[in-house]
Amino acid sequence: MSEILSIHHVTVHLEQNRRKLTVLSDISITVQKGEIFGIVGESGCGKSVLSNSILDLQPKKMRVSSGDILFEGQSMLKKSKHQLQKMRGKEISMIFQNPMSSLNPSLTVGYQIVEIIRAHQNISKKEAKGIAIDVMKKVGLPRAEQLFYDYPHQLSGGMQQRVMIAIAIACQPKFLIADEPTTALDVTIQAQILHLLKEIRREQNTTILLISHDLGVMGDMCDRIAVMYAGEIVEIGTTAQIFENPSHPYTKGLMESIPTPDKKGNPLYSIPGNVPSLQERMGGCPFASRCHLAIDMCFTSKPQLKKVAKAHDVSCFFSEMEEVSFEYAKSFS
Amino acid sequence: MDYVLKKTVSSLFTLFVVIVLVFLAFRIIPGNPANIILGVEATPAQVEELEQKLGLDQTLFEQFIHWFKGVLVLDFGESLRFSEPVLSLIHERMGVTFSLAFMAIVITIFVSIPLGIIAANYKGKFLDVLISIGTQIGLAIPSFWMGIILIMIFGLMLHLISVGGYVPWSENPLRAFKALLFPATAIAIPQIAILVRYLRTTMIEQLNFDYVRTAKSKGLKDSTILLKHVLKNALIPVITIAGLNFGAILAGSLVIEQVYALPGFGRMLITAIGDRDFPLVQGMVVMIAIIAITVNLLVDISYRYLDPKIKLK
Repeated sequence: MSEILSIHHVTVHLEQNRRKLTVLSDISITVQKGEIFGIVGESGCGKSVLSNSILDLQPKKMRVSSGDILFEGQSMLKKSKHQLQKMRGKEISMIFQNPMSSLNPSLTVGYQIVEIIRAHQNISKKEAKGIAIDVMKKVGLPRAEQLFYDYPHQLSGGMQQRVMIAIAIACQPKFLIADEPTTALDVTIQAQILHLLKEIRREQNTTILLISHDLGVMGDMCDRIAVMYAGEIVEIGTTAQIFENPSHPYTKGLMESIPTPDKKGNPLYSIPGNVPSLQERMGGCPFASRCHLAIDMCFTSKPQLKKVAKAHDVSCFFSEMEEVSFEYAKSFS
Repeated sequence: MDYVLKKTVSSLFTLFVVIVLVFLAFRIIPGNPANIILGVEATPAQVEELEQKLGLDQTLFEQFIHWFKGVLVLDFGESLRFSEPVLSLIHERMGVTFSLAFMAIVITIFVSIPLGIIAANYKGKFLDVLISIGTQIGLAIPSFWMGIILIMIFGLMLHLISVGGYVPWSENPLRAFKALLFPATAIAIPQIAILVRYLRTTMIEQLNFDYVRTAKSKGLKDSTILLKHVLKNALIPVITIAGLNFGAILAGSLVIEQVYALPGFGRMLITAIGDRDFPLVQGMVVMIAIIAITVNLLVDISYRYLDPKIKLK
């Protein structure tokens, strides 16, 4: 396997009232060709900012202030506006959270698919329409020929998301960023859409960066997972490592809060408190204020990502002390 | 029911209400037309004779039915003052007023849409500020005054237009165009100011929508995103304002005709009101109403093209 995307020590700042707020700090991720890489974390921890910055689609006020993003070995940050434009949709595509608002309400479904094809290939409208219909069929849209002339609001949420996926894969990109692709959908549709993404990966060997707040979804989908908290990566490892041996208290908390059959009858665990806002973030471990294990040191100095096993990194002072079990700590809270 | 049919029926109903109101308005305002036509020295017998001739002795309902039958075939009767059919009087003057209004609309559209797009695209930058100052001035200055200023600058100082040199389109289209260009511009300026500000706001609003990010992620050019994706959505509310303002454009042309001494509706309407020439006034008002309602109907129908959601309603 070879690297397709590598994010090197990326820090993103937000300029607000002449203050520089840190949105992402020192993020490093390497995605291998053909894998499904998951980024998980609560709302507001910077997952979307990270995925949007790959194609420079983050809000204008946010800027990558240090680090680099390499796609197939080339820096995305050094690319000109025009070069980036050519890559968007062709090399790297995106699927967004809310299909209803992510599709243009006043253009037909067909137009919105044809448009991306014609933006990257010099072909006639008729040829592009043929490709669009094929893609629509591939993503499981029924009666593609009629649907081609429909407007987004005439479709159900699941069908709208299939249209979004059709747009995203129309130019057969190597890399697909799916930012909470199923959050706005109900559970049965969620499963169908995830299944579709897996199929796309299998058929076209597309690398997928999957972003979700739902660790349960991640387990079925991903090869590797990075856990993000308050703009930092707190744990990264293979899906098996994350599920079988979660080492960061935050990851453990997320695991605890997945509803599973064996927890039936007991109240579902939830991590107390909220993700700190950008203004509230302080030095030390970002999770310290919500952590059961936190000691003075956690509030003053920042733990670094350290290897606990092969390909499994955790940033927690306690990760090395295996005797401190999560259950044990919880009994004190 | 079909959307267009539904809108047409409701427009016809509106028109009917206007016809009734126009008729009633003239019966309510004081002043007997027969008295005014004959002057203060007329004998009661003479007045009665003329009232009979004009049908003023009939009941209100009979008068209305008589008039309404005429309106249906665009026969508004005869002008009391000019003793000519109202329709032919309207026909003579209509050309000026409607070409003025039409030119004002064309100028408004062709100037305000690009300016609105530029202002939104360069939000907060120099061009936006410049356009914003321009629209402030355009809004603050009444169009008749703007008309006078334009005559002063382009007519008297630069000699680009001949003041009062209107000839009908059929005689000399170029001269007609030149004579109407500046009054139409004077009418258009406040409209442009309103629409630019409105379009700027809706464009900026639309630019923050998720679908714009999707369009960017597809690798589309900025100009495509702006013109194909954003503009179409931003125009929907703007068209409403433009349609509602059509009345203001017509009213503006009535006033501007006075400033530029153009032989249009404006002066005839004002003298006709003074003369209590009610068939003429009624005819003109109904004619203006027909045009205004038609424009609004066209606006409603154009929504269908712009906003696909309307098709379902």
